[in-house]
Amino acid sequence: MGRLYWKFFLFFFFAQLTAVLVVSLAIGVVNDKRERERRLIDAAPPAKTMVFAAASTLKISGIASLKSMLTIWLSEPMPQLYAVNEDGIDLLKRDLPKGINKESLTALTADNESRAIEHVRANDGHQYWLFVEPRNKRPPPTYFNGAKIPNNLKYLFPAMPLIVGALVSLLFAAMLAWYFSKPIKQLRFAFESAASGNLDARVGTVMQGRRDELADLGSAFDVMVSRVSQLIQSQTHLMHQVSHELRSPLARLQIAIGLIKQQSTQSDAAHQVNEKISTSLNRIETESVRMDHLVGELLTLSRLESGVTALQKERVDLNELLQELVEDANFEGIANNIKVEYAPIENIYIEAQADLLQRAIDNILRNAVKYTPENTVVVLTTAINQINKSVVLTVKDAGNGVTENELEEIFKPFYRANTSEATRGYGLGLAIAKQIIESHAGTVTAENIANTGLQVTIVLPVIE
Amino acid sequence: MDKILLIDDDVELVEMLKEYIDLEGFSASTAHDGEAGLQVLQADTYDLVVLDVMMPKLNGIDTLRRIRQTSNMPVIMLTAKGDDADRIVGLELGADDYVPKPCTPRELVARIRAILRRAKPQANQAKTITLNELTLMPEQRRVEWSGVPLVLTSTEFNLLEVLVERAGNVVSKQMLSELALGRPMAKFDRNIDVHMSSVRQKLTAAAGGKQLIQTVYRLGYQYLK
Repeated sequence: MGRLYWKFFLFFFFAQLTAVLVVSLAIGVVNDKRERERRLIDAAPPAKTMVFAAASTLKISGIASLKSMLTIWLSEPMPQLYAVNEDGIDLLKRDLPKGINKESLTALTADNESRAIEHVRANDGHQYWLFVEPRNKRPPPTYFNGAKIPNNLKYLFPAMPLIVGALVSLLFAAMLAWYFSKPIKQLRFAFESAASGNLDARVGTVMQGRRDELADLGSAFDVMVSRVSQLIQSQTHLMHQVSHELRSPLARLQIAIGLIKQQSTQSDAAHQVNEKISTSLNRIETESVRMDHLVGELLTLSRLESGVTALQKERVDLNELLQELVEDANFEGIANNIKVEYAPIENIYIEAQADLLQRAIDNILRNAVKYTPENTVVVLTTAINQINKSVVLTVKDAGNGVTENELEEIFKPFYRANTSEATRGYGLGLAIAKQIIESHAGTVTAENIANTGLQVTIVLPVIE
Repeated sequence: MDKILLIDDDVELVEMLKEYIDLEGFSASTAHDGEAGLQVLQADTYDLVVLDVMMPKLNGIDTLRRIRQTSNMPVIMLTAKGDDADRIVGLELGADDYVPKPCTPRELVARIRAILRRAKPQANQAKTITLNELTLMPEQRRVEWSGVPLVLTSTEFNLLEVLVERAGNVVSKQMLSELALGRPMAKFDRNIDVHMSSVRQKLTAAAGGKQLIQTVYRLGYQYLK
């Protein structure tokens, strides 16, 4: 459960709890007044009838008749009607019911919508309040919704609605919070998935059946991702197509050059005369081969990026693979007295397409050899991380490194570090390396190591 | 004069290539798709086929499969550069070598020469080698296991020959590449491994499950005496 969930939950819970409290307090106030009235006098319809009858008797027949009527009623098993004058004395001199006095009677009369009390001027010059004594005090309820309330809870009962209200609002708050935070969580997962490169991520399927702004947001996300995915696909496709189409004319060009060269070498005279042409032809051939390499690299990159060809993975001995590369790199470094150092420490096996991975590491290694100054050493190290079952491979050169903001840029196609003077290659090596490593579920990063140079770190999962 | 068949759908390219190859002392014919190529092959015999992978109608891989059903003749595949899958599949199906396209015609002719030189019985070649049940006849380029012929492609035969001549010793991949393919091993080259796996499969099947060729860690291959 995320923070948002708890925020929603607490907010709704407190809101509902407050509402319950306020409402029950308000009801309590009203109830209190009614309750008081009810407790002092009987306001039920039979009592009202009795009061009405007594008032009529008093008005029509006078005080004597009322007195004899009350006397007769006295012997009946029913709530008794009282007639109290302004001095607070009952007509039959009975003790007044609890709480009844002149003040409370005045108050009851003033608020007498139910006509459960009458104030009548009698023919003896006194004024009388006529009302019926309350029935026996009601015992606390023993049943609630048909269930027997345990004795120890009986006196808690007035608090019962509050407790139930709190529980219900707890439940509703939880549900509401879940209802809001769930789609947001789903959206977050989809965004994260899309950000990590999975453009097949959609939320429409998990939000099915929902019709609100969050669902709209979800479908807007789906539209966006599919559009982005389309654009990327068409771009990759275009790049693939362009590189592919460039190859046919290149192939013909190379054969045409070959033909001219073949013919010129076969007639020695022509060869002698056209030595300049021959030099140019060699140059044209070299350039067309270069262009061919570039197109090849582009094709490789676009193929890797689009992921059209599945990797042919096999169990690879990383040390064997590295040693071969180190030998080659050392051979290339001889001219500038650059050495590549590598001391294998343990057996490392990974699941990989050997030639691709070899190419990736080779690109990184060559890059290091290219940028390290003469008479220096490029250091290659490997270390196994037992915790997450991976191998950490570092390639460190003795060059000047790159600026901080170039650390990521160098892995982008056609990027060249500003520091370099004359550069060979096409600026695709590291981009290809990154693609290959990432397609092997690995990561590659670069960092500047103070006073030594640039260090490229590759992390790849290992197998037993 | 060696007869070479070029099968490629790029008509202009193939015409220029034919001209180049003819001038190098071969006799080249052309076909522009796999089916046409197969027909030409049926009508006449050729010493070597250069086969493009990407072709309409019948692609290079399928054409190769059909050729291999009836013949062990040398085949060089022209593959799109970087298309490793095609390359490996081609080698597994028994192509003798591959040349990434585009290539300079010089490169292609060098490969053709290397393959042809090794595909033909040579006059000064050693006599029949017999090693236990295995009999290798370089003059006829035939292999037998206990008298039963073993069907190998030209390159597979070369590899086995190199190993058997040095039976008991480890032969490096570089050496195998130079002696059997006639060229140094290229970087990231899986050529030898693919061919070797095919040779081993055929040999193991013929020898009733017996492993005769051993991979020696980091060094190469060895034919067990």
